Amino acid sequence: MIEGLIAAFWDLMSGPSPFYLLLGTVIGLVVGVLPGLGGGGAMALLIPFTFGMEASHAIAFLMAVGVSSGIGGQVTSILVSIPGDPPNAATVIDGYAMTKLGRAKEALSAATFGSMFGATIGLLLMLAVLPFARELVLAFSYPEFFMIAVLGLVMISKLTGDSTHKGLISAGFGLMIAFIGLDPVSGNQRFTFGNLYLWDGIDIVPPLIGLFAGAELLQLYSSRSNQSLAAHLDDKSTIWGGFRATIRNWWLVLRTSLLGFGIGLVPGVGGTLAAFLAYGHAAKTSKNKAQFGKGAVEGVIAPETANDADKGGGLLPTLAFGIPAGVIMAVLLSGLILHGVPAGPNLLRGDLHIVYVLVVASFLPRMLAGAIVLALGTKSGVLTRIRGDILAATIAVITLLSVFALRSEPLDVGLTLLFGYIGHAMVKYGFSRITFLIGLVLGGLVEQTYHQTMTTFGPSGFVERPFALSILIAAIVILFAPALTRLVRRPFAAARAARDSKAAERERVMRP
Amino acid sequence: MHVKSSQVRAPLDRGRVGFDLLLVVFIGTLVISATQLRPQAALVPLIIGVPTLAGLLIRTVLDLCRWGKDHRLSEAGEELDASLDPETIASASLADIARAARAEVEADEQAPTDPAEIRRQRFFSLWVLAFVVVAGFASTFLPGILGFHTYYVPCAFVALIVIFRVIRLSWVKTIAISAGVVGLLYFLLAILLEVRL
Repeated sequence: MIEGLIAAFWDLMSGPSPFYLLLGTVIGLVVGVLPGLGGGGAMALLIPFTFGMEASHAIAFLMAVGVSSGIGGQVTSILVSIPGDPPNAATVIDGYAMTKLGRAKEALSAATFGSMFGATIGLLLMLAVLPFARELVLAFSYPEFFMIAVLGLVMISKLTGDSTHKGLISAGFGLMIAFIGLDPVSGNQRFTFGNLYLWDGIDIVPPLIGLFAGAELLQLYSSRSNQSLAAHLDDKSTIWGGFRATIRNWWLVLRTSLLGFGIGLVPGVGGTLAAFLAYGHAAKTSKNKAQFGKGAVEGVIAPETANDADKGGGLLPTLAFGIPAGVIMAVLLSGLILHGVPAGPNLLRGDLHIVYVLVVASFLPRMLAGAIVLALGTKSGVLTRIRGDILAATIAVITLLSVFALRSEPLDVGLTLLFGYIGHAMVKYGFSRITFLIGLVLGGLVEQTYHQTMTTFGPSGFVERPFALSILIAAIVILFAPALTRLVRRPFAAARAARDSKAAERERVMRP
Repeated sequence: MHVKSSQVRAPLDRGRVGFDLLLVVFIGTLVISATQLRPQAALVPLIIGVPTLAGLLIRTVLDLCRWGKDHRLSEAGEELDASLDPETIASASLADIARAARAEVEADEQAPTDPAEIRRQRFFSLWVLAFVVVAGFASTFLPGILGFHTYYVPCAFVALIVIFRVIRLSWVKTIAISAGVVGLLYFLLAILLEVRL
């Protein structure tokens, strides 16, 4: 493993790769600072520009954008009380309070070091668990892969969007789009309606960019008024103070890293949940409970540590099972597929070089982004003055031209625009975009493994193999557990309500 | 901290029902088309498509009957703001924190309600549509101009000038940024990557 990591490190230090990492880090920081454009959206926008790069360098570049956006997001949370990304929301409470107290540098430094330590612990835990995940994947066959895909779609449907109902519809919509093109069994045309453009199926780039960047660009364009808030610049604290506070709270850093890693393993809201849970945990266990909300440094360290440790956890289901834990991982997975890297179970079966590249690429840019934020200090607030409307218009033109440049196909540009509108409508009406994308990505795997199972094992293959059966049961439990729990609790709740009303009646009668 | 999932009936939202119907038509077309395929090719699309279509029909009926949850954070968002209080977060249950985290993600994606913001979004949508349609049609049906093979670069330049003027950027900045962006793109795509633009 160590040799693998060293080889990956040297791979990323060769040729133009360090430049890509630096560029990705800077872009990630800027988009993290801008409310409206998240790390996932920025990664989607940049995918067309990675086609000329070597696969490992392209993946590292995308990863750099994704991981640095979190650190950019903490800057606005602390300096201007606007979270760059949802996972930075919990940092606002004490981070901004510290800024108002003239301790912005300390807050920025504590959040940055918390992020760095969290990311390091999260990645180390991921590397520790990876061999076991690999063993598990090697024991899997077609039925298990089919069930894993189903489980992933069920979990993400449950945890994102308005309701499970809409989540499942989004998954079905994505899967149906994935079935357009040549049928993998007979090689006949399917859902092409005689159109040559659809023969190869829907290329993943237009939906990816349209869905994730379209709605974000609209928001970025319309949110101009939010950009120019100034930070409290009468700052008496130091970067060193934040570092010392992080080291002093090493036990909190460790606990919240473990929490973040654990949450990261579960597909869904991931980083945001991890950050809120870590904040609650810190507020509950701190000796300075009264300080929380008024500028407690633990209230900055805990959510940022958990939020970054979560990315280490999120890499595991993405790499091992091809089930992304969040938007950033979903776009990363699409990037892997586009660059011909066998994402999902096949990735761990073969050469692990790309896995180590991903680990190194999610570590180095974080350190680099942290160093940039620490070097800029409170001056990083300047980034919030970039006008969203100018940026949105520029990005839109750049993106559409680069989509056209990929295949010189005007219909790709039209399709990107169409998916942009669809993505906007999905956001507006509560359908999960990430579930749709995962359906689109997993569509081929679902169909292929279904037919392979039927041919190799017959229909019993889905229920006779213990792993496949366990995953199926897990999917059913996750899907129906809330309804079953309500069903089981109902008689007890009714009995309790009857008992309470009887007691109230008795008390009323007894009262003179 | 407690983020209620409001069970109140929302007023009929034509856009929501319209989107449901569009999805019904799209998935319905694919399902009907799948019935005409060979059994092996149609099997998986039908396994997925039929329940999706059924789910969509139920969703459409629910939205038509105004039984849908009024989910977009009118209430949940307010409660989340109130919940950004350390004491409530510390004492909240896992389920409540999970709901708040989900609400935070939804709030980030929430569509604007301010009329000025909606107008700006509409304008931006139309501006992008105009760029794509004009550049696409001109590139397909007209011969190249000014040494370009397609109309994408000239249209990008014009489109940027239009939008920068609409957002009241000065002429100097408008021309400078538009020319800079288009020039950089041309250098990257046409000269370095040798794409026929």
